[in-house]
Amino acid sequence: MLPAILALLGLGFVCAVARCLRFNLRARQMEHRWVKPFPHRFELYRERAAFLFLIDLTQPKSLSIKLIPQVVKLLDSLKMPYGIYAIPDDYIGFEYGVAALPALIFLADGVPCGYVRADKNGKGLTLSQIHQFTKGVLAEWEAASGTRSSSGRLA
Amino acid sequence: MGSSIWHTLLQWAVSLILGAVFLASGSKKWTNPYGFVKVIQSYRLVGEWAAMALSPLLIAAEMFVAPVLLLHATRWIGALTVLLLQVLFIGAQIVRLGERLPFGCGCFFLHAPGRVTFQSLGINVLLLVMALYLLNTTSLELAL
Repeated sequence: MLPAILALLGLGFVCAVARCLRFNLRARQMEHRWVKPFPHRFELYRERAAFLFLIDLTQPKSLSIKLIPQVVKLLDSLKMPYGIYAIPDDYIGFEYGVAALPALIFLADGVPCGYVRADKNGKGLTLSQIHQFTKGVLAEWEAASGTRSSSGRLA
Repeated sequence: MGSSIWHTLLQWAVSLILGAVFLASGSKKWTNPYGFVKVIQSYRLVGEWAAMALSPLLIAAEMFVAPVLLLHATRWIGALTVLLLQVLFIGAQIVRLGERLPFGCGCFFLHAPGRVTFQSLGINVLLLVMALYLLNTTSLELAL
């Protein structure tokens, strides 16, 4: 019985390693294709956007992508400058210094919708909570910059 | 006799705690193994390709520790795996203790920047002690 259990666990272990390795190779490929060649685009967003969408390219079916049209509509109505940036996964954003933004909407795999602000993790948020959060950040952003935001999506 | 029951109960309790901790930690990393590659790289101890290879091995090891610890016959393998993982994690944390890493220490929360603290190191040491206890008691039983 024991050898059978060990063989089963061993097989599961090998499958898990293979799955993670495949995921890593794909994510790295996406990073080199979409992120590394365009750091200037990211810098532009970082300078001008108060919000930045991070679209996880490794998860094309994730809820984050389905929510984008609604969130875009919401931010358009608030006249909030924002950027959309495709990334291979949510971690890359930090590597490129997203944490320096006043706030960012954080759409990533496994989390219906959340936000990260400074060093704090946000848990899953509903669209109405995003609305509330966005309005709060908008007020702070305007107070800090001394101007009223007027632009929508960055080119 | 009474002492033996307490030992068995303690073994089960320690196995359950370790299993739950590693299953929770592993399942978080399972959803994004590439994020864990970034965490490993942020410690600046291994290169990119080594991190790419280490990440799946560590995640799979964390996930499989739970069932291995719960089976009495394989408990020592689970305890040994936890011990090796903790030695690795503690070693890396000691090297970067007090430093601010872009993804934090990477123990349980992988998203936000943060420092490697004595608290996270202490938790890892506690897990190491628990693994040592399990390894010691189970190997004694096997010897008998």
